[in-house]
Amino acid sequence: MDRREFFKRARKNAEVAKKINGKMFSGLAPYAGSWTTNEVTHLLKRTMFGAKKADVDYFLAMTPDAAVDELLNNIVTPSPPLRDYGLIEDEFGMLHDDLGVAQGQTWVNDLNTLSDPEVRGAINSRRVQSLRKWWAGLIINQGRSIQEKMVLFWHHHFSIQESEVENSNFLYKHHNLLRSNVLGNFKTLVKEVSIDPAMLLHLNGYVNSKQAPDENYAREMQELFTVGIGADSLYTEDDVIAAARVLTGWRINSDPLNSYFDAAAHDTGAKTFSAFYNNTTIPGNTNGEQELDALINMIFATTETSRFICRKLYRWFVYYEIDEATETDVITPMAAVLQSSNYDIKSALSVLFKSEHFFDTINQACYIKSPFDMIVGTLREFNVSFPAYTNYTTGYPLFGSIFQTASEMQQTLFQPPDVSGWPAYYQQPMHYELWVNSNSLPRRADFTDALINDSVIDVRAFASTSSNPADPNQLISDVTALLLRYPLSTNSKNYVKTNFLLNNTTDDTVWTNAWNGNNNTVINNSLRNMFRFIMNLPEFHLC
Amino acid sequence: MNRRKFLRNTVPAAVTMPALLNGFSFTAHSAATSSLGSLFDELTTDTDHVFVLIQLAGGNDGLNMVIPLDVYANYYNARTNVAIPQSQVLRLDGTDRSGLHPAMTALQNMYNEGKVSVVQSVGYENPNFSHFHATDIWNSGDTRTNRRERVHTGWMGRYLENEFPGYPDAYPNTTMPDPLAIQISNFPSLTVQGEIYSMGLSITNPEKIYTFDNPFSDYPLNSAPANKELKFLRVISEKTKIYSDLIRAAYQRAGTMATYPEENSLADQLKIVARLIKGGLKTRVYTVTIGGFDTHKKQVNASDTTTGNHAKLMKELSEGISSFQQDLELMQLDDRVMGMTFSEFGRRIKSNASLGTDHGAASPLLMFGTHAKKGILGNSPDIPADIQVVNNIPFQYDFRSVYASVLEQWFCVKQPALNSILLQNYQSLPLVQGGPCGLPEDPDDTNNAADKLVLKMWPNPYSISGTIQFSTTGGNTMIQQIDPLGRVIKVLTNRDYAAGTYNIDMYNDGLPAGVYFLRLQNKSLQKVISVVKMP
Repeated sequence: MDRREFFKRARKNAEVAKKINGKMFSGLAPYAGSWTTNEVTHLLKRTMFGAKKADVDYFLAMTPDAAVDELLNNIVTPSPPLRDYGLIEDEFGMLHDDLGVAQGQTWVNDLNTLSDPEVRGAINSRRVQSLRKWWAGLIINQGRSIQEKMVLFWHHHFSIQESEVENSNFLYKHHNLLRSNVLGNFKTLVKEVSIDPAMLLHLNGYVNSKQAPDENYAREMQELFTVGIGADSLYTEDDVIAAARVLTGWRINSDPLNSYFDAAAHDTGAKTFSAFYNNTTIPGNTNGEQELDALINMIFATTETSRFICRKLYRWFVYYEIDEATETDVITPMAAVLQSSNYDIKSALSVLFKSEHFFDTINQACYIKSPFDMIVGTLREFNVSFPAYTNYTTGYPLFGSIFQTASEMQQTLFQPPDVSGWPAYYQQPMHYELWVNSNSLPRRADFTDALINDSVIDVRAFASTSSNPADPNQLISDVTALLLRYPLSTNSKNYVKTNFLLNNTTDDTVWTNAWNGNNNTVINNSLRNMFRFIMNLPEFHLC
Repeated sequence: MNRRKFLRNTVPAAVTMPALLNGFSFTAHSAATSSLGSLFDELTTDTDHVFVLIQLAGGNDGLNMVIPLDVYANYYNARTNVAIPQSQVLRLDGTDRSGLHPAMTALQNMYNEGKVSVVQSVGYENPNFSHFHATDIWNSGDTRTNRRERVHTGWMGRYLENEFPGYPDAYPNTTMPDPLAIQISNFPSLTVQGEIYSMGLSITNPEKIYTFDNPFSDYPLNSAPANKELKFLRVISEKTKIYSDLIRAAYQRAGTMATYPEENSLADQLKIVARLIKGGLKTRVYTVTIGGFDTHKKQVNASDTTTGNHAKLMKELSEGISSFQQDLELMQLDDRVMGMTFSEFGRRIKSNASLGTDHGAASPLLMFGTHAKKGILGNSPDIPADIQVVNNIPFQYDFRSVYASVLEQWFCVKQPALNSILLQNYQSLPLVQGGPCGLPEDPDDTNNAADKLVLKMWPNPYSISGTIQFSTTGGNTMIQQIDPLGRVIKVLTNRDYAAGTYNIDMYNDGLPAGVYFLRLQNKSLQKVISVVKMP
């Protein structure tokens, strides 16, 4: 080690010591600490699905601020999902084509009215499946961007279910709404979602009328989507009723597929709200959109709305426990940024990801991977290559298996457990821990074991990314630095080395000779056993 | 925040961290909303009984499984294109009221040997016609529609949590050395969900070996949150390894003694269950699932309604259960095992034009095993002669009465635990024979006693006014009015009565014209009649 390297390490150690011993808590002040593989990997594993070595190296060459900016600004607009299915067999064994769209073309905006009525239901199911494959394809093919993790966040937040909506075009339309506003304006998004056909279907807005008010959406809009049920969220049952009245009259068209306002079903009386909303009165009229705007303005005038969404984002990206210090030093200032930027989500996230709190040691390695973190993160970190998301012939089947595997681990796209989203991000007291149980752990093991057993992973190519793969110590150090956010102790690393690379000896040259001697069988078997072992470690589930 | 929401939010914390409960008064909460009240004062029941739940996913057409011979003309009229010909219905010893689907000869034999009980028209007061919601309702035992009020636990999960408090932290132990429940499935189902943890393990291949390597016990990172999560993962990993090893060992210790049918997914699953029981597991609950019951189309073959998709399912069900029973008998384990079928809903009385049936309401379920009380509980459903598409079968028995009876008579659960598990009090139905819980057996034939109950209305059809006459053997007596869709729309009375006969006068009930049902419930007895409101 040269002198300069020595001082660099010493400085780094001093910083770590200061953080742990001196500073008990960090806030939203800009992060000014070191920028090493550790910090970059932390940032990438939280904002993307997995941290590939190439991505880590890429961002390592930037400043922390520039890295965050790139992750937040690199947003792309994908082309829509494609028909990947062939002919459909009816119950009499007859084959039917989807006459509305050719294979390889998008079914989006085709109303599914041309095919035999007998098979339209089946066609819709195939389209829903192709939508799910397409989405999984986008996730596995993500760029150096927070985009896919944020789209999934919005799905968790607004949480519509395929079993309720049942219409592939409405599902796509809803998904596209989330995608187009992924780092945009939260207020705009809530307004758009309120009159989105899928949401009108999902929470009964389409039957909400003056004659028979339906409070379902009005309730969830406040409880789950905006002000929430924090200690200071004091909206009343009467506010739910009044909001439902504001929202009466929105209906759905089947051709074209959109929503519209039916003034005849609208309650034109004045709606008065509680002190929590400053006793606001929304005068009734026959302009539904005007009333909706007034309702949104009223809800977004509360500080609770910004705090609630910031807490939700915090639980999605940082950690689930929000104690008093976190509330005061992180949530409150982050919410203030959100409110002062007129609900620009990107501004709020930018402050969070550039903060010393985000990089604080106590916020590292404490996040239990979601099924998509586990599946897509692992595949990406091992550099498993996939066809482009537009490849409906060889790509879609693979994307379908990603969707299916995640579903078996309890995370199903377009079918979260209910309108509250995934319990891992709200259910006290376990939160993330709900992802891992005696049912899902074997499914996770099935997945990682299969990556080894079916040679999905090229273990040797992955080992070659080490700075010195012939040195067993360096090899283990490099691969665990990437795969495990929770570090292995020296003793544990020795255990791995002895058991898997040194053939139960203490002689490092056993591995060095095998590697340098290009002994395929020994190298592959050793690495396969080692990576299977690492992926079965409890540490592997943390990021 | 209302009280119920408060409870829902606090209960999970309480279960995992009993230390936090100091000074927290349980008596303030009604047992009906939480099983915690009994969690701390009940000892684990000493029982070696096993219960097997067979889920018929998709909504089973109960009317073509248990065919009503006593109202056959109306049955045939309502569903001519899918009706099973009267001459082909399998007859059951001792009754000419109903018979079984022709594909169920194996189950017919089991019935005649006294090992099957049929419970007619099982359902609930506000039938849900969505697969997802209705399945949740059956699994949770909670019919409330408001999401915030609904429990997020399963009925068996609450039972097991009540029996084995603190699971999984201190388990396995000498009281329960094995998994509490095993599901033959990729997915854990709500049935066995506890407040936080699933009380069950789901397996698809009992012989699969999981390494779940967990050799390290140090915590090199100086970070409380990360260490907390790592500790949690290490515990789960260790427990999962222990339980999967126990399951594999039990499976490998035992063999199969009966011959199971080939290409029968239910039989494949029950075969695993039998081996695990024989292998010595003290596991109390097993769940298996067979799908394909959503027979909107081509439920039967046009050329022969006794064949087709539903017939195939009925054969699988019948042969799966009967080979399982034979296996258990050969292993001399049949005294310990009972099972039950259930489906999220039955199907519509009137068939559709695609040789199928649409989503419906109540349907019959089957209890089986050496201790099943032979017979058909309840009457054939009332099928209107003037059948409409919307007509559904009104429920005679609440599904939670079936659950309550299983827990009480098979697992020997006592009050107040029984009420807290099922969220309120339900009727006890005579489902188990041989009195394994030391309960006195109902000496009367429940059906005959129910037949003697009076329930009538005049005039019928009625328009503006009418009189309902009913008799009661005393105690709580309830009369519900049910609409054509099978939903309870009015409770006409629900209170204690002295034994006797009573009249209720009705005037201008404001209901639209149509067919309604009156359901009388008096302890374990009930009676359902149809009444017609004129325009």
